[in-house]
Parts: sequence; C-alpha cells; structure tokens
Amino acid sequence: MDEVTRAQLSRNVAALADGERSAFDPVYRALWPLLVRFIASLSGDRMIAEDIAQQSLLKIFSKVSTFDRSRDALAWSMAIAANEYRSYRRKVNRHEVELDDSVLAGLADPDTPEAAAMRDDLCTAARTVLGKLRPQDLETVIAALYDGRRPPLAAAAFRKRLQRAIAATRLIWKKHYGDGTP
Amino acid sequence: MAMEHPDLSLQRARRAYEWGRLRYAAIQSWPVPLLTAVSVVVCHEPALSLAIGGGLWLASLGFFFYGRVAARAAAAGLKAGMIAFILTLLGFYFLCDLFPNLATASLAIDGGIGSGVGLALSMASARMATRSNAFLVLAGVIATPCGMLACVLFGPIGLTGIALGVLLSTAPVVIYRRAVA
Repeated sequence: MDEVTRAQLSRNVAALADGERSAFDPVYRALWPLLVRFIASLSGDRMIAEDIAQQSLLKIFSKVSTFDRSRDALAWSMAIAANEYRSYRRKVNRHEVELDDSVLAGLADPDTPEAAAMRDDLCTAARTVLGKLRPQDLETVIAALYDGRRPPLAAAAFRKRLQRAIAATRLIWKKHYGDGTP
Repeated sequence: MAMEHPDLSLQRARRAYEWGRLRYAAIQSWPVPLLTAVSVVVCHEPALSLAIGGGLWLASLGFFFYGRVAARAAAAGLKAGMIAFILTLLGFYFLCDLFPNLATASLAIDGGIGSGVGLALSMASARMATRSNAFLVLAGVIATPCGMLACVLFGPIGLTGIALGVLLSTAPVVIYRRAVA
C-alpha cells in the first residue's frame, strides 16, 4: 500500500471514529483485502484467513470509535488482526492438546481383536449414517473431513452448511443407534 | 472478490460499528449518572433530579452516538455543565447569605453561572471551523440540564435562572453569526 492510500485510510478511519458513516464503505473496502492477505501470509490458508479477517473487521469496527487519530490506521488494524490470529492459534492448540489427552487416554491397544472389531463396527455404522445423508450434506461433510475441494461458497455459508450437515448426521445416528443414554 | 464481500459480512460489520458507537456513547456519558446521583442525594427531590438526569442521559447518549459536531458539543457541554454543577452547589452553601432572600440569590447565582457557561461555550464555538452555531446550541442543550441538576436545590427559580442565563448569553451569538453569514 502506497503512502497516499495509507494516509487516505487513516483519514477515513478517523472520520469513522468521528461518527462519519459515509466513511464506512471505503474503510471496509480498503481493509478487507489487506487483512485477508496479511492473515493468509501468517496462516498459509485462504479460508482461515477469510474467517479471521472477518472477525478482525468486526473487532476493528466495534473499536473504531476509540481510534487514536495520532496513530496509523493500517498499523492499528493489522495489530488487531494479528491479535485475532494469535487467539485463533491458541484456541486451536488448546483444542488439539485436549483432544490428544482425552482421546489417547481412552484408547485401548489398537492391535487387540476387540479394538479391531470395534473399529469395524464403527466404520460400518458411520458408512450407514453417511449413506443416509442428502448428497449436499454428504459433500459438505466429506469436504470438511478430508480437507477436500469445498463447494464454491463463502466461508460463513460453508460453516452454516457444515453445521446443518452435522446436525442431520447426529439425528440419523440417534435414530439408528440411540443417543447413548440408557 | 465477490466471495469475500458478502452482504451479510458487510451488514455484520456495520452492526458491530453501531454497537461500538453505542458503547462509546455510554462510556462518554459517564458524568451524567454521577451528577444525577449526587443531585438525588443532595437536593432531596429524587423525581425531579431523575427526570432531568434521565433526559440529559438520553440526549448525551444520542449526541455521542451520532458523532460529528454533536459529539464534540456533548463533550464540551458536559465539561461546562460539570463546572456549572459544582459552582451551583458551592454557591448554594456559601453565597446565599449574601442576598436578602432565596429568590434573589437563585436568580443571581444561577443566572450568573448560566451566563458564564454560555459565554465559555460561545468562545469554544468560535474555534470551530464549521457548524459553530450547531455546536453552540447542542453544547447548551447538554450544559444547561447538567447545571440544572444542582439548581434543583434552589427550586423553580434556580432552574429558570440557569436556563435563562445560558439562553441569554448564547442566543445573541447565534443570531449575530447568522446575520453576518
């Protein structure tokens, strides 16, 4: 970003901080691609970058009224985006650690005949349930599970579709195998 | 880039901005509940204090939320109003004995403080490059009830006195500016 555009962004953010609603669209249009590129360079994943850029923009716009006009708007926005990315990384790491601890602790020796039989049963059950899903839900679940080619949707729309697909999967599972309560 | 610019995301950002402004307005309006609470305790007229404080809080919230000249006026009005509030309380406790009766004291003290506040705001508005009249009127709208919260002590004459003081010291400035513009 050249100096003129950067100064323009700072002016627009200052105007927005002052309550000038007409500066909203220019700030949004200027920041969105910058944030996506910035976070993509940190994460290496375009979808994650779009998600975090969106969260960052929400935070930026909710805090913009307190923006200090002596500061550079771009640096300020990037700092918020970097914080958002750090929070995301922390959340992911914590989730992975929790998953590792709980899953590994509960796992029996995978080579025993009992473990193999359980694994086969689970695979069959999962195939049965997945087979009953609508094609659109199945495509979404597979795309999410195997990091495959995602349907051409915005990140938020894909998340919503995935949430619906998971809810449908749970429902079918409950219908076939109960909900695990006696 | 159409995928990265869904309307939904833009709407959410806009909502976040408006909520942020409301939060900012609530934070900036912090003196109003404080002055109202002091007024309720000191003036022993809770209904009147709460009515003035409630109206003032809504006005302050609205001005800060809207932003631009209204927010600058609200900030200046609150500062001037807090000074008027303190001076009015001091006047009630230390200057009333100098006057023959409370009605005269009310008019003199509250009218004088109102005029002072109006003059201070007029001078502040002169520094505005544009919309100085709007600034002056809106700042007066905030400063007057701030002072009135303490004028409850003096009764209706005090309330009228401060309002008249602000009006008489700001109205000529506004009229003059409009005439020469």
